[in-house]
Amino acid sequence: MRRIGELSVLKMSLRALKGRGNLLLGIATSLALLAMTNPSYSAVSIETSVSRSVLAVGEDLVLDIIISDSTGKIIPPNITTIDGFSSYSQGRSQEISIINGISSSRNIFSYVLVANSVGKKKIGPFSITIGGKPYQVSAVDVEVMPDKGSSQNVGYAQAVFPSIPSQQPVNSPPQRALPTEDIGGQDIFVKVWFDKDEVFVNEPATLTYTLYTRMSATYKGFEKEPVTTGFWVEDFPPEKVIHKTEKILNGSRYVVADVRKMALFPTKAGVFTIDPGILAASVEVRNADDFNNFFSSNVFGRRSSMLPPAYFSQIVPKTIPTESQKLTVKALPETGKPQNFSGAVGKYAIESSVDKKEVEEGTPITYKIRIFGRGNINTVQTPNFPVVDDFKAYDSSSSVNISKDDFVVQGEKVTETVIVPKKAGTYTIPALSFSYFDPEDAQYKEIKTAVQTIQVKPSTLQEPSVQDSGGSGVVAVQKEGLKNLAKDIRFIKQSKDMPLSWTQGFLKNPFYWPFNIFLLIAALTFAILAEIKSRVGSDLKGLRLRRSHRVARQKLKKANQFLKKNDQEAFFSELSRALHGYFADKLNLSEQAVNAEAIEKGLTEPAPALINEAKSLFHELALGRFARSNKTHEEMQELYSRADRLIVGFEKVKVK
Amino acid sequence: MKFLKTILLIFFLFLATKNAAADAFNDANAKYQAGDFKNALMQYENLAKSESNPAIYYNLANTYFRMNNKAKAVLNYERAVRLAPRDNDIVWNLDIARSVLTDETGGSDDALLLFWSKKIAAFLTQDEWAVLLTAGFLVLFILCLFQFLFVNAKAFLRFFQIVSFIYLILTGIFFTIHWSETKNPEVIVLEKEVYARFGPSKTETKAFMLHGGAKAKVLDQSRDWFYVEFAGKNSGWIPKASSEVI
Repeated sequence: MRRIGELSVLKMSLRALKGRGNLLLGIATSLALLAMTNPSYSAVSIETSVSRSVLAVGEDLVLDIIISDSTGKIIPPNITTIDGFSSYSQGRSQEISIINGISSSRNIFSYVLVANSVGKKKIGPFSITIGGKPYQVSAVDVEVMPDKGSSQNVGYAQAVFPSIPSQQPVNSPPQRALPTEDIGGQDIFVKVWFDKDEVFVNEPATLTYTLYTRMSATYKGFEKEPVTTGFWVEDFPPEKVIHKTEKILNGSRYVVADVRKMALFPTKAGVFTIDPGILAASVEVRNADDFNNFFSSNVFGRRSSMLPPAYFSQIVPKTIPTESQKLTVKALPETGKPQNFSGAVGKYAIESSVDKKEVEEGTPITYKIRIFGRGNINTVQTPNFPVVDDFKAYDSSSSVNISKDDFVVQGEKVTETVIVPKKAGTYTIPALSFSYFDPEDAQYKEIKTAVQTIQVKPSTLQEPSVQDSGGSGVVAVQKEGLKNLAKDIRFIKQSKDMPLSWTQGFLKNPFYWPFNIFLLIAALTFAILAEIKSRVGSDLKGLRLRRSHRVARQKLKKANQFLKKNDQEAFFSELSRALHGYFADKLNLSEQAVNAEAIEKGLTEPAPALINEAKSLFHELALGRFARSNKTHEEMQELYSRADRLIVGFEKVKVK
Repeated sequence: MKFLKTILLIFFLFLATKNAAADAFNDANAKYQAGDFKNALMQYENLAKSESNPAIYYNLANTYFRMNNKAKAVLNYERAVRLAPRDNDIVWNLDIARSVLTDETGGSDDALLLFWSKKIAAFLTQDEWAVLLTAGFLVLFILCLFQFLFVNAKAFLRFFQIVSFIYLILTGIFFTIHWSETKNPEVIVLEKEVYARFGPSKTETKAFMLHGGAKAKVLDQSRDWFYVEFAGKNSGWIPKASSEVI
């Protein structure tokens, strides 16, 4: 209507001009009129609307503030503090439509408000500044019902947030999975948490990675794996359908999902800080922040989903850091710990079985022990097969079955041992006991297998008959090597007495070296002496020479005795022998060869007087011996003295 | 009579002290068997202070081993084996104790002859070699004496003389080898980890690390530091307080 009015005024003014003939005045008037009518052309109107007026706590509604035909810059209202709601600006869109040549514009500001308390609420009134002028926005009434625990999601929300299947109830994540500190304005973050703060050694603590995101995101795994030294890790397999919940934090709605869960079994006691690693995700970032972007998603209408998302958003890879988590590991108590405790923690049961209860000698039996229950079944040590007399046990084989259903590590460990009875009889395999620590009761428990009774019948096989081997042969026997069961230090010595202990300190004795040196010197001395002795002894000529006088003296002595007895024959014989012997020894001749000439020859220097005397004596002695003549005692005495003097005289003479 | 009495008194006192020492040993053994390692340890240590007996060191080392003190166990096994190198129990236990240590000693790269000579030398204690050496001298002496006295037997005795002379040379060689191997004192590292440095001071650069139970040969010393050689190759300075001489 106004438009028609403007034109008609223009026409009328122009017609008026025609009549008056003053064109210039007419144009000026019409322009002025135009100018005056312009303000009426941009009369601003403001409307508000809400997407729903009844909602439950935790649900949201969208508040639209529609400004039509605005002139000038619009400063949107700051809607953060509405009693009973958390809110944030959703977006702004602008529509310009040109119909029949007439253009009009609409600016729409939309806000998502989340109800956080029950009751009748009033949203607004707000004030808006358009073109410098303040305008009032009227209030809207809504009602907030108590949380029913289930809600229908508005299709509006689905287009922007990651979709939540409408059939699933929206549950809040468990208390431990909630972030404890200020999350700031983070669009995506991870809360890593343990299901327990304190566990025992080998008791599992489940580590969960809960991902919070308020943008569309895809979980891409781990950029850096967690550091789990000191723990035995059992990863839980990822769920086929990731179970999502949602949570409102700081006024924003976050989608929450557990992306990884693992059971950590500590291997030792202490306080551990685990570095949970770094996660990777790709996030869809919308470009709706740029209000003046002509190509924003809102060009052709509000939140259009007809154009592909790539036009208005980017996929950005993001790394999500985590905070390290602390876990206290208590050591298993020492009191009450059974002797055969091997480190198993959890809840277990044990059973044993044999595949045959009646066998013949030599037939193998399989003895099976099965330990099953909850806990780190991989590290459970089944009790060893005991030594049973007359049974030969072979190495056991073990197999483990683990299941990780419902995020609990449990399973069974089966150990099979083949045993062969060697003798007939009734045998019992004793109960084997297995101890474990129950962390819930904080107590050690011992469980036992049942006792197994085996009947062994005598072998029906024939012994290889000895007759066949043809006599008393020996049947070959399978020999066994000595099997070392374990390696450990040997027992203490019962007695202090050690062999050869008398040698201790031998070297330290101050007499040691002097004694050795003495022995050495003495040995050498004797060796030398012996050498000399033998050298000299082998010298017969010298030997004879040396002993010539001595021997002669002995013989003279003997002759003297005969003289005293007045035994003439003996005397002469001995005296003669003494003289001949003396010269023989001295000159290294035989006794018979001794005569005056020989003596003369044997001397180095002539000694005529002695030789003459010797000649004379020889003659006298020969007479005395062979001729029968009685010599008087005095004559014999004379001869004796002459012999004596002769020998003495010859002692001084040198021989060749 | 009084003289006789004093003699008897001294004799019985001697017997008593000998028995007392034996009793303390048996008492400590009983404690060990009962599992009372702490008290057994104290008693063995006291016994070891008063006499240097391989059985005492061995039992002491066993006690340390049971108390999981590997370094001290190895230390005392080494002391025992020096006094009784052929005792199977001591050698076995030393091997086991060494096998649980952190540091590898590695093989030696001696020539074959030298390696076997060292092995033979190690078979006996220094004192035992000394006894053998003296015995050799004694035999030689007797032979020479006989040679002198019985000159006729010279040729016969000559053979034995040569044999005993060769014996003396060999024994002398092994005696010397044993001496040269053991003249430097050896230490066992007692601390869990100790750094060997390039110089005798905490400010010097670290060269390598030794763990508890490692055996090293002392080449030099300076105030509170030992200059040691480990595994025949690496050498460095370690604080005296970190180790104990075998």
